Amino acid sequence: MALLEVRDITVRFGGIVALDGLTFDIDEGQICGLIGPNGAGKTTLFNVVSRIYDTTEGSITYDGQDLLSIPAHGMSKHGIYRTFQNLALWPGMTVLDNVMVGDYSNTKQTFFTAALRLGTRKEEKDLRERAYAALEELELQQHAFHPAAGLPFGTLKRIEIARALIGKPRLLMLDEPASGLTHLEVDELADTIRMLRDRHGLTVLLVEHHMKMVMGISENVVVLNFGQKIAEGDPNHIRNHPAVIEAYLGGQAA
Amino acid sequence: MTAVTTESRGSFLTWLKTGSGILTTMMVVITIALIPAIIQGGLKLFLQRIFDSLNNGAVYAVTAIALVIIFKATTLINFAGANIAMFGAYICWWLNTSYGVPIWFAVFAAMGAMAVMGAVIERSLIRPFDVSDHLPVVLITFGLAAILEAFAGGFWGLEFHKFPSPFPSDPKDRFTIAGAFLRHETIGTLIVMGMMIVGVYLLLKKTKVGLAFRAVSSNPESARLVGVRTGRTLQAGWALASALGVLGACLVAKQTNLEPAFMAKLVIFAFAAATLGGLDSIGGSVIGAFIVALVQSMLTGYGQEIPGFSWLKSNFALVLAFVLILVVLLFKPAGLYGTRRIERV
Amino acid sequence: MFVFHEGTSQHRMYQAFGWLLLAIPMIIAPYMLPSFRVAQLAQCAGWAVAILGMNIAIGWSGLLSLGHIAFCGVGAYTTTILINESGWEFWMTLPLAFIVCFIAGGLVGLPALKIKGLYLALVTFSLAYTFPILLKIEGGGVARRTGGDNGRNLDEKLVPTEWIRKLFFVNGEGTDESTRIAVYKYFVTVAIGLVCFLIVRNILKSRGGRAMIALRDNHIGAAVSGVPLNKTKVLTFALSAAIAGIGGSLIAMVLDSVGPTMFDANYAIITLMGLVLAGVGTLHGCWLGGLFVVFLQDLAPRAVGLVPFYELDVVYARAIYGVMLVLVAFFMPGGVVSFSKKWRARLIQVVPKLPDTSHLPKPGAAVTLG
Repeated sequence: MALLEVRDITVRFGGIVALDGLTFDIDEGQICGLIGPNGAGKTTLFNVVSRIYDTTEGSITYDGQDLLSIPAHGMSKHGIYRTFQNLALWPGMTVLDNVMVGDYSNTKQTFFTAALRLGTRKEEKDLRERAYAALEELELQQHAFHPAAGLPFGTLKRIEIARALIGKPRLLMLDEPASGLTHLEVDELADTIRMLRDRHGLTVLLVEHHMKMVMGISENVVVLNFGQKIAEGDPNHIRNHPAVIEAYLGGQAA
Repeated sequence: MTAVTTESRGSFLTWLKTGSGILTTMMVVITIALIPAIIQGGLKLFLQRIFDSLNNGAVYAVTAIALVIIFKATTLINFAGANIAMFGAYICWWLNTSYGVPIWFAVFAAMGAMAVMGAVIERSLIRPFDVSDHLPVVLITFGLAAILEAFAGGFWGLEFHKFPSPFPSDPKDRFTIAGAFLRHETIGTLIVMGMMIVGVYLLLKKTKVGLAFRAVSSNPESARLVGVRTGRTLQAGWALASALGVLGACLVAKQTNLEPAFMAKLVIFAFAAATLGGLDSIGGSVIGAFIVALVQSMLTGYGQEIPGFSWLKSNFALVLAFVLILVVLLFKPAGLYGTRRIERV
Repeated sequence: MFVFHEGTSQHRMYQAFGWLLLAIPMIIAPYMLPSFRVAQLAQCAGWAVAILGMNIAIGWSGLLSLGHIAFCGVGAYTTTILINESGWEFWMTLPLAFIVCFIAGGLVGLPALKIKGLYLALVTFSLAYTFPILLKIEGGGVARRTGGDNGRNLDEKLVPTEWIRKLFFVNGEGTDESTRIAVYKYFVTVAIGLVCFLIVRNILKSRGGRAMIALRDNHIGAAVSGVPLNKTKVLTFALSAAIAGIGGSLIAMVLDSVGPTMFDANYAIITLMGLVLAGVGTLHGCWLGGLFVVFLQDLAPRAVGLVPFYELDVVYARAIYGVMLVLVAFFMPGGVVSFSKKWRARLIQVVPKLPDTSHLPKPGAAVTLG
């Protein structure tokens, strides 16, 4: 069954059409790769699905609900979490605090209860432990009390995943998780994504430039070019698809 | 074609939400609110109020433009702008009264002097800081404002000085329209403002400096990469803004008289004008300036005559302007004609 | 280099030591100083609370507001009017001042949702500028209640009750009644300040506090983590206004009077300088900020006397402020607290206690899809 159904999504920036009638499905438990040359509209789609950009054309249905009616900060309540290509962490906070914010929508303290410490201690302790456990799972516990500023890029990307993980996501969206990583780190990352999917029953939407990684872990690949879907299917199908080869190599193949 | 006609109703609502729509609504509301007053006081008084507001409007506009130029270039707000202008007006007054320099020469000399000061301030006090870090700029410009105010007071005393008018200002120098007086000074101020707007427009649109300026204000990084000397351009912006501020101060000083805080008291109206019109829109801030001036003039003029509102004073215009701004900003966060920057993720 | 492990008794002793270091001078000072200095210290504490409020907006939420002085004023006038017109006790006015300022802050905070950075600074500065004018409106009895230009004296001064006299002034300490009142007011202000301080500290260490900072440093990251941007911004703005309002109430109580010049644009800048000098976004800095606000005003005119060039008057006191503002921006962006933190980090290291995760389900034991 499809967890996410994207139908006819069109996004315009002034005169430029960034996404042009895009349609595809992601099945529950699937790792779906979204690829395409630079400027194909991958990140735009990502921002539409995570409700950072608005669109009036097309619909997105998530688990039977109209996704476009949920505000950006409501996504996490529905179990949709994402990471960012250029990171959206908080450099001044410790890594542990960064991860703790990730569970915002599942915790209940308010300004009022926190100010007077009305039964917040247990929740706080519990949250701390779960955040630490999420860090342990991604083997980041040695950085837990370090401020996020100054850590290596690859580590920060994993912290973002940990931040998403603590909120018990159903749909995890990764925006170019491999960019800026070394070869070794990319291989590790692929293993991590697969492992997290298996352990937590995640559905993963992955935007990526790194072909080898996408082809290695995705069950379904959607290829975009100039805002349109030019191909969709399993990695083997995509690898030999003429339109894909043309888009990537710019050849004159028929 | 059909799409256009079927959407015409929707597009009226859309238009209502644009800057011009809100502006029109505002004007309509103000006019309706004034109808009883006009009936009571007569057309002559009403015209007089409008003429009175033109002068203030022009001055607020000039001061607001100085603010907008710096904001457009750097997204910073120069809280010292008013006092730079004040200092310039003092220099102008000093040249004129102590050395007999003709008033317009004195104005230009003061503008030149403060332009240099603006450039120096940009280079030494503003450029060392990251533009995205706003707190230091607030501190520094407020600090500068205090320093300039103190020195003006120290050099020239805290008392009021009469400022020579740059325009014919004899009480007889006026036109009479439907019984209301339009003073030559007002016309002169309006003409100077008009020339200034045209000048700034030509400078920005037609010259190389203007092109560099627009490039820097829309994207400093890219501008630097294609070889625009961003530092120089920003410096030029500060110099221009300071000079224009001085011009505004010289235009208004005749009516307010010189004293170290005279511009600081007035600039808040220019702030209001610029926030209302849009901090990155020269045209918008000019419109904002005239609205604020109109509201002020009408409140001063008619407030006493509306039963139960005898407590309305000219100062209260600021309160009303402030409330107006809060409401406008709720709907148009960048002001009536300001542009919103799209955020990149 | 001292190393403490969090949660051990040594660590607790170190913490207690730190508190004592702060508390002892605060407790002893009023008994050692002449009464006008004690009154100044009490003012400091009042301003410290105001700065604490400002810090919530400027420091932790990144909302550069220059208008919090107006909320201080609202608090101060609420207290004054309630005492003078309705005969309330000072204590009872505090919750109401809090609520009034909370609502006022929320109303101003609504447009603040959408405007950013210096745009917000400009609008809020206009608020600071407008507030004294608002007080002088003659309609609706506003000027009558606020006293207009002249301000108002509090009809009912706060004086120590019998049992407090017995408790604190047993051995004839401060035989002078004015000294007693000053000392009493000082402790009242400090105590209420401490409560505000603890409230803010608790919030900062909680979910809401983290959300606040997350919103400041990267609002998109905060949104995808579920932080409601608008609600959080308005709430933090309202909260900061409310705390600033309590500060204002305290100042009114200490001075036994209010006036429009106490809460004008000028003070907006002075308090901002106090905040920056002490340390933006630091809790303990707020106390120092209060000291700066009061004593810089005391010192600047005197410093003018030291400048030899001109036979100068108070005119140049403003120049000294100006120079100080510029110097602060250049040389002390982190304030005094950042220095002390740097030194402390060299001397003392606290090793955090690791959270116990043994009872949580182990990774791998979770659901697996077929």
